Amino acid sequence: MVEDILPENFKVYFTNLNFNYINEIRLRANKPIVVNVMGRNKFLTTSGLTENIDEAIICKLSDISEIIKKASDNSLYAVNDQIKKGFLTIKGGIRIGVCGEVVEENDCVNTIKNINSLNIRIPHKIKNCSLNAYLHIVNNNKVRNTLIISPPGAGKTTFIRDLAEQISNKNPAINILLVDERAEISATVDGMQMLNVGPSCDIYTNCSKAFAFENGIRSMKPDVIITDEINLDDDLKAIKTAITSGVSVIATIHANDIYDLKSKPNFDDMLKNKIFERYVVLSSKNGPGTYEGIFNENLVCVYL
Amino acid sequence: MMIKFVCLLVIFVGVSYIGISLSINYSKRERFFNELISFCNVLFNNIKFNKSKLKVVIKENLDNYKTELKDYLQNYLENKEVKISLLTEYENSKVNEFFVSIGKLDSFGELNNIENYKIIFNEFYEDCKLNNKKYGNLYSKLGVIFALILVILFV
Repeated sequence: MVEDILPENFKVYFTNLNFNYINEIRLRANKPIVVNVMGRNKFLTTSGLTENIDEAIICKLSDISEIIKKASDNSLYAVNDQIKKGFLTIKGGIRIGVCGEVVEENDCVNTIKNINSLNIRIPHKIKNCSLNAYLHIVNNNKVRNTLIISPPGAGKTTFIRDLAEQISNKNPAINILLVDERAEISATVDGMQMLNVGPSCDIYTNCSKAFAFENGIRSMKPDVIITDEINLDDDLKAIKTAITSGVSVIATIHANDIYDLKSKPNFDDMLKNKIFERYVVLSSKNGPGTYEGIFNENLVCVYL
Repeated sequence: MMIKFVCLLVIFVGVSYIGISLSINYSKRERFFNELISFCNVLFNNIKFNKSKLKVVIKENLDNYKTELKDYLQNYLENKEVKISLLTEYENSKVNEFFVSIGKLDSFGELNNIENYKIIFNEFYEDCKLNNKKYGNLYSKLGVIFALILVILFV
């Protein structure tokens, strides 16, 4: 599917590469193309990958424009709301991070123009990667409020995708509301889910967490809300509302570890009120999705 | 006698056909711009309310069009550039300009762009409507009359 958005002249360079092992493709205008394979960055050459920068293929600004044109299906207006937030999601849950000149008006971002950097992130499904944590999160059809902690690129999204599927498959009575702000957990494109998140998931995509939490609880009556990349500044209120409404919440957050999390605003409030009952810490130490530990509401390690 | 009759019939049908074709051309042009304006409206509404992608809107509505617009849109989906024989050089350039311009702006810009082109297409449509009224019937009648005159002359 990544092939569909690549410029014609690039496609031949990727023919020898296996997309199953590629995590990221980084394209910067007039700079070498970098491919991240299983956590290691290499330069793309005409015959494969190398660590020698001199052999690398240079990406042109026009190549980036062509990728954006293809990724948006020649309909920039349809994806501008995503571009404003610095990304766009295409078929297969592939998330393209974009960088360029931000156009603002009245303190609001209108768009990003002259896009000159792209980070194409290719999701991979790792079956049962959340199974160890599942046993600590779900008990007698009751889902514990859980926070997944990991730095970027350590497999949070893959983890909660699998967790959603595990809960859904093993507990059909549990209704899950998936708040997929960037449409990358379920890879929903044009209303179709490209990645399986189980049979009992209702999905909100491309909307704010505040909207999804408030309206989702009212209209879909979920038992669990699963969401990606929360911000303790903005989203804690919505999470508290959900929990006090009797809805469990599973969320992810960017942090290196529990100690890093302690420095975040509102952490004390979160800990004091025991908002989350389980903390799952992931890292990419032994590849994305490495368990660093599962902690209880008092931050006592229950699984290592 | 029989050959003469056949020849006269051929002349009558041929000359009438030229007149009627010219007349049909006028009505086809009118219908083309009518459909193009209707496509602009559909696109406008879809962008405004659904932000649907261009290709999705085209695919969903393709069967609603009966004129050359259908072929044009079909070719657009396949990224092929085509010239519409029915239109003048200037009209063709404006239609192509429109299809090249869409999809490159945010929704606000797109809606303005569509509105601007709709004004141009409306002018084309009004011209075609007027010409169809003026010359459409005239050419078909002239064709038949001229064919009759030729037949009478040859008889």
